[in-house]
Order: sequence, then C-alpha cells, then structure tokens
Amino acid sequence: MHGPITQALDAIREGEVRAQNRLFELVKGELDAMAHRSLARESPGHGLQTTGLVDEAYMKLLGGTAGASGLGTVSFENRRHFFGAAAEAVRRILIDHARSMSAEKRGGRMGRAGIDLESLPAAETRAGDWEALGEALARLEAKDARAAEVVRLRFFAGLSEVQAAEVLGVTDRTVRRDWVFAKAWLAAEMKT
Amino acid sequence: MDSAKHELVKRLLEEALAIKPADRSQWLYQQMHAPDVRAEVERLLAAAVAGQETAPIAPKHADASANSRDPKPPERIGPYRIQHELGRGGMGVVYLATKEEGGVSRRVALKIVKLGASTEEILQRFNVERRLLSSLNNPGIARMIDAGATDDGRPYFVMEYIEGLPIDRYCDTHELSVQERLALFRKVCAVVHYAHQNLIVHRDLKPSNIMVAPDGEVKLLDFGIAKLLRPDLIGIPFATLPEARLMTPEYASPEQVRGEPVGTSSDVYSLGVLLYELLTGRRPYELKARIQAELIRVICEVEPERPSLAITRSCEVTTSDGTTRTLTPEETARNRGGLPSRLRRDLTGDLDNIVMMALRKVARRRYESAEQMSRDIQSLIDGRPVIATAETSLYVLGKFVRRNKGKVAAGIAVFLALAAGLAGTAWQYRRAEASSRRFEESTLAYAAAVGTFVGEVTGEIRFKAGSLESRRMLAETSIRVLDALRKQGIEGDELVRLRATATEQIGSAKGGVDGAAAGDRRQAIQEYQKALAIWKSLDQTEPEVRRGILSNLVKQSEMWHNIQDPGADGESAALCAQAAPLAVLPAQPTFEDRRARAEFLRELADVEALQKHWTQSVAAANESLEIRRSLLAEAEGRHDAPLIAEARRLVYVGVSRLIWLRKRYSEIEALAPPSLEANLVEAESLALIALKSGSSQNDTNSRDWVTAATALAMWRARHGVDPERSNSREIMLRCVEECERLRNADLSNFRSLIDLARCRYSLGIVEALLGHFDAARIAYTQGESLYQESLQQRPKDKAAATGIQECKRAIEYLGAAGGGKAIEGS
Repeated sequence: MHGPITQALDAIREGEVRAQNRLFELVKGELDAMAHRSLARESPGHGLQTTGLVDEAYMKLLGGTAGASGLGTVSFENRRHFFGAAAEAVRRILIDHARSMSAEKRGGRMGRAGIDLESLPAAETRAGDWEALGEALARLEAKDARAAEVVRLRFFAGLSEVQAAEVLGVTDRTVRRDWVFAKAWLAAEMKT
Repeated sequence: MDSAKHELVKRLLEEALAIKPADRSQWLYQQMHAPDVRAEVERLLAAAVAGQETAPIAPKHADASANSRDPKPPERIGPYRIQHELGRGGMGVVYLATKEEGGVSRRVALKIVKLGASTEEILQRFNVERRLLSSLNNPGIARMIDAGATDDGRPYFVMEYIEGLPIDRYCDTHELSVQERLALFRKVCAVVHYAHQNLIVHRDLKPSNIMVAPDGEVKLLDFGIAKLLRPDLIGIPFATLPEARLMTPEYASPEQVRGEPVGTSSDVYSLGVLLYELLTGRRPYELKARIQAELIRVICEVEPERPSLAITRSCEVTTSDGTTRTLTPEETARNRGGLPSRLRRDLTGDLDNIVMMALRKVARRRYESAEQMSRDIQSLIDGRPVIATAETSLYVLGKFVRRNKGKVAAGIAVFLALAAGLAGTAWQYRRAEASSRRFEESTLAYAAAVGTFVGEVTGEIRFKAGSLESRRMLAETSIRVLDALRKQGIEGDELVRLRATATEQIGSAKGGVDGAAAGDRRQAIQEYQKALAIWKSLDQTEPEVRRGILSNLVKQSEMWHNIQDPGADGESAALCAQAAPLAVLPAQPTFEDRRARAEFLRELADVEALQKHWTQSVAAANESLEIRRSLLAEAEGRHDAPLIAEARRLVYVGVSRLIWLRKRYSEIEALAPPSLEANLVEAESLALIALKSGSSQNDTNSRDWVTAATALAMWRARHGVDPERSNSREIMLRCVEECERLRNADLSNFRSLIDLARCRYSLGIVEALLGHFDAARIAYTQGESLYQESLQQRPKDKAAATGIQECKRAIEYLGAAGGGKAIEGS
C-alpha cells in the first residue's frame, strides 16, 4: 500500500522531520471526522466515544487491525509512530471538544472535576483538566519516557495492555507496571 | 533518583497494591529499602488509592469492585429491556433482562462485553464463549437463546435465566445432609463430565458459577474462561487462545496458577475444592495474600487439612456473595443436619480420601475424570470399597525426605531401599530355590540392617517438628517387612524384638510422644499393650527382654497419668507396682540396666506424688537423678561424645522432673534439699549445652532450654540478687527470640504458638518483678493476643483459654497496684 500515510511513515523512518507533522495532520484529520460522526450518533451529553476510534482509523488508513493478528505489512517502527500520533490526535480532539463545549454552554453544566485514567476519556471533562494532564504527562516524559508513552497509548489511543506491549515491543507485564506507576504518579502530580 | 531506584519504586508499587491496604505500610517497611525509595512508594500509594489496581490474578469479586465504573446500565440492549446487573467478570457484564413475547414477559440473562473492554483478545474470548455455549446441549448448562450486537458494535448473547441459588447457599439454606450434598455434587460431576466429553475444560468451577434451581437441578454457568481442547471442532479458526491467567485462585489447580497448560484434571481439582467446601463450609486454603508468588507456593506446596479435621475448628469464611463471618464447628454440623461428632464420623476415612484424591498436587494422581470421582462417591454411598486411598506411606515418606534433606533423608532413603530390596530378594531366592541356608543368611543380614536403620532413623527424626506421621509410617513399614519375613517362615528372637520395638514406636507416634502435636493417648496404650504381649512371648530371663518389658510398663504408666482421667492414676500405680521388681538392679548392672531403672524411678516419682506419698516421691526423684549423674560421669570417662550427649539429656530430664515436682507440690519442696536455684542452674546449663551442641533443627532442645531458662529467670527475678537478678530479663528476651524462631520455622505447629504466648507472658512477669511496668504491660498484651490467636485456631484448647485469663489478670493487677507489682506467676 502506498497511500499518503505509508509515505509519511516511511519518510519519518528515513529522517524527514516534516513528515512527522504530515503524519499527524493526516491521522488527526481522519480521527476528527470519525469523532464527529460518533458524536452525531450519540445522544447529546453522552460522552465522546474514543475507544475503537484509533482501531478504526488504523484499519482505514493502513488496512489492517491494530491487534495482535492483523499487523500485516506495517513495520514495527511505523506502528509506533502511528499510534503515537493517533494518541496525540485524540488528546487534541478531546481538548478541542472540551473547549467548544464550554464556549457553547458558558456557565452551563459543570464538568466533572479531574480525570479518571481508569475509565474512558470523558467528554464533559473541562479543558483546563486536559491541559493539566498534558503538562503532567510532559513532566512524566522527562522522568520515564516509556511510562508516558504507555499512558498515551492506553488512555488516549485506547489500546489494551497487550496491544500497547506489541506497539512498544515490551512484555505486557512491563506495560502493566508502567501503567500502574504512571497512574499513581500522575495522580500525585496533579493533586499538588 | 537513578533509574535502578526508579525501577525498584515501580516494582514495589505494583507489589504493594496487590496487598491488603491495611498491611501495605508494614509490608513496605519490611522490604528494608532506602528511605527515599520508601517515601516515594508511599507517596504514590497514597495517590493510587483512588484508582485501586487489582492484583495480577485477582478474585472476581475483588475485580468487580475495582472495575464497577460502567455508568448505569442501559435501558435496552437490542430487543431486551435491562432490569439490573447480575454480575460481572473480567470481560463481560451479565444483566437480568426481559423480552415481551405475545404479551408475556420472559426473563433472560444477557451477557455483554464490558464498556471499554473491546480489545481483540476479549472479543475473541467472548466469541468463543458464545459459540461454545451454542454447541453445548445439556440440561445442566444454561441454554443459549439469542445473540447479537448493539448499535455501537458491542456483541452480546442471551441465555436462559436461572432462578436459583449458588450451590453453597442452596445447600446451607436447605440444610442438606452430607448424603444429599453428595447427591447434588454428583449432578455437578455429570455436567462437568459432559463438557469434558465435548472437549471443553471449564477452568472456573466454583459455587457462584453453579446454580441450583428450585427443583434441585444444577446449572453450570460462565464458560468465559473455558478452554477448548480442540478449537477446530466447533469452527473456531485460531488454534490456541491466549492462555489468559484469569481465574479464581481459591479454586485454581496448581498447574493453573503456574500458568501451565491445563486439562480436564484441572476441573477435577476444582471439583475437589467444591466438594471440600460443600462438606466443611470452608475452602482448603484461605488465600489472604494476593502476591502471585505466595499464591503459587500455597496452592502448589501446602497440603490442605483433611475435611474431617477442618470441621473441628472455627474459621473465617467468605461466601459466594462476598460476605465474611465466623463459622463454628456446631454451625457447620447444624447446616448439615447433625452434631459435630456425627459429621466428623461421616467425613473421616473414605470421604476424606475422596476429597484429598481430587485435590492432589500432581494432576495424574487425581481422579481420571469427573465421572470416576462421581462413581467413587456412589460406591461410598452404597458401602462398596472406593478407589481413593490415603496417600501411600511411600509417597508421604518421600515428601518427608524431600523436605528434610541431609542425613535424615539419606537414612530414610537407604532404609526404604533396603526394605524394598529385602522383599525383592526374598522373592528372587524363593523363585530360584536357592539353598535355604544362603537365603536365611542374606535375609537375616538385611533384617539386621533394617532394624538398625529403623532404630537410627527414628532416633534421628524423633525430635523434628512434624515427624510424628513419618515415624509412624516408618515403624509400620518395618512391621510389614517383618510380616513378609514371617510368611517366608523366618522369625527369630531378633526379629520378634524388632517387632515389639516397632509396635511401641507406632504407639509413641500415635500418642504424640516427643511430637509437636498432642496424640491419642488411648490408641498409644493399645499399641503398647500389643507390644507387651510380644515382649512376653520371649525368654524373660534375657536382660534385654526384661528391660524391654520394664520400659514398656513405664511408657504405659506415663500415658495413663497423662490422660488425667479419674481412675487413670490407679492404672499408673498398678503398672509401677508391676514394674518395680523388674527395675531392681542385677548384681553387676550395665549402663542400660541403670538407665532403665532411672527412667522407672522418674515415672515412680510422679506416680507417688499423685498419691500424695511425698517422701517416696522425693526419694525416687533423687535416686533417679543420682543414677543419671553417675551415668554422665561414666560416659565422660569413656570419652564417647554421643553417649555423653545422651547422658547429659538424661541428667537434664532428671533435674527438670525434680524442679517440676518441687514447684508443683509445696510438700515436696519442703522435703527437698534447700536450694532450688542449684537445680535450676544445672538444668539451664545442661539445656544450653544441648542446644549449642545439637543440630540446629532439634526443636526439642530449643524447647527444653526455653523451659529451663524461663524457670531460672523467674526464680532469679523473684528471689535472686544482682547482677543475676537483672540478668533474668536478658535470659527471657533470648527465650522469646528462640520461641519466635521455632514459631516461624513451622507456622502450622500449634504448640509453638502456645509456647510463644507463654514465653511473652513469662517475660511480662519478669519485667514486672524487676519494676519495668510498661514493658510488662506490653509483654502481657502480646501474650494475650497470641493466646487469642491460639484459641481461634483451637476453640477448645484449655491452655489457650487459661493463658488469656492469666494475661488479663496480670494486666489488671498491674493497673490495680498502680503499676507497682508483679502478679505471682508460675
């Protein structure tokens, strides 16, 4: 397959910096469209359904499934880049969504305080909370880059432990340990 | 913090989260890591509390609370109206739902993939369960009705809704008798067997997955983690599913927790756990730890208590609805429509064996199938012989050998080889019809060797904790060897003496002599009486036979007066009278003659005291001690180290007996020579030498020393002068240490728990006598809680009940006296 995504992925591997942005834009564009369709389907106020979104995008853009079996032609590095980009895209979509909600309903419904990493990303979360999480994640990145990546893949891209392990090329046990640690660390970090 | 430390923090955090919250900080402290590591883990733990993580293998009820974050249930799924949640597992939620059909509302159970759990693996599993259920057609398995997917693509399927109770609650609610429970259990076996025949291993058999409908029919639920032995047969395209370690540890087989491939015998094991629970109201193991390594160790290595024994204790139980409460022996029996004694009789023997056979650690040693287990239960009901037997002596001995590596093990192994060789050789010779002289020679050589080994090995393991059972089996094995020889027509005096000794060894093991557990003294006496008859069949003018009879009578007397029944003392007195002429020393007494007399006198001193013959008692005790001292002197003269050690123990026993009598009876204290301290010091120093020179595993030496040292410390704290007086505290602290070591060496040993409790209490007395009242209060309190723990383990234990009273009284006394006094202790 030699669509724009594959080309962007290959370019990244060959070291083209601009390709990174191109990949991101492509993935985000696709995810945006899908998220809107999903929002349109849901009853108002029901959350933004992000699980399955990335899976779907992957299938659509790269022609395979994200899970263990259908990785097909996509190389290991490319997968990692793709999911990294997708997680980031979902995060931005959530922030955008939160902003538009608060603009729409100024002073309206109160958002839920804080973010629960255990559940799905909740659409009613306030933009400020997303930003706080983003900053905390950046600090975690400096301390333990892999743990931060696990959070992006698990929480934003909605990958399972096993899938995240596949993408990162580590065991699922390592992913679990990183995940447990990251959740606690972020919770401690965002409380202070 | 460097990266090694960071990784350590991550590991500790994960492990700590697997432990009960209340225990975490203590656990963390015990891990002994640098303060900054500990502080970081504590900070993260505090933050993580909101988002509780479950252990790598978690019970489903725990995981239900951790994951119950689905928003309120949807109103409808497909054509079904959702009523409420029935339960949830690792991947799906089950709702009670209704469907309108021709004006009739029909109730069904609807299982749907959990929100946010739609990973490929889970979807695969879900699909497998759906296909598998539709392929099974048995009245004992909840029928599949419908399947579909929601608009957002979550798959679900619909099963018949079973109105009923989980099997454990059904049995208790209806107070089913043991017979009725067995009949119900056999129905479960039949369903499980049906699944096995369809090449499906359920892997999660437990009460909450086995419902009993009001009509008494069983229904097996939740094939969510079932395994297909041949996935291709029902059109599942992938050959193997991920061997996810989803399971309920309490019911999981050893191979399952180890993550090894499981077969149908794994379900047989879970059936064993289920039967255990239905019969006793509790599970073979209470798994408190959620640390994987600990779970694996317990499930793979610890032998569960036999059902008939388990029901005699109270315990904490968690029922299938997740509540915890205390279950007493009376309630256990009442729920089964009878009295504890009756239940115990019902379970002892065949039923014990059936349950234990299903629970064997090694898969191939269990029942071959659920059906075979079911048939064995039917045999039991019909009064026919069952397949299940207690583990063979060779198996149990083998385990003992593995647990006790080294000299003891080598001795037993050689003995077993000999015993086997003896039988084999006898047979071979008979077959070859070799000359009878050669045959007899070699057989006798073997027999002599066997005898030596029985003696040495039982001597060697005599004082080891937990050796009673092995001692009994070893002795029983030698009896079998002797039987085999007798059948061949070989039986000389040598072998008859061996038989008498072995019979006595069986008696001592049954009676708990030198053992960690209290035995059955009446059974012991029966064995001793058998042995006595054997001794008497021999030529009684032989010194060895005479000593044999004497020692037998002394043993019997000892057993009797330990029974502490009215009339038992009379039995002891009669036996001593019978023994007295045999204990008279011949003109030229040997070491053994004098030793036998000393043993007799020790027993006589006790028996005379029981009859209030104070002068005679003191005379006997003193003569016994004198003989013992002379034996030690003789041994030292011979420079024979093992003999010296043995003689030292003889003196120690003599001194302690005298001390005991002096403390027990004020009349004897009035008659005895003035200084009790001299006796106490002698006993303590002898015990200390034995402790230091003996093998470190010799628990009896440790207990002896603790007893002697405690007595000495208490005496000195009360009557001594400094520096000995203040030194008594150091002695007690060392005693506590030693008791704790013994306790930790074998947590199942009840006696070591009582010893530790007693030792803490004694420390309290010494502290109080020395004026350290706060320390005394702490020690009493610790003693009391240890006694409480003992009483929980054995609600009827007198020592524990008395101990609690003593501690309470001591604490009160400290308070009442304004912290000024020590209670008079023993």
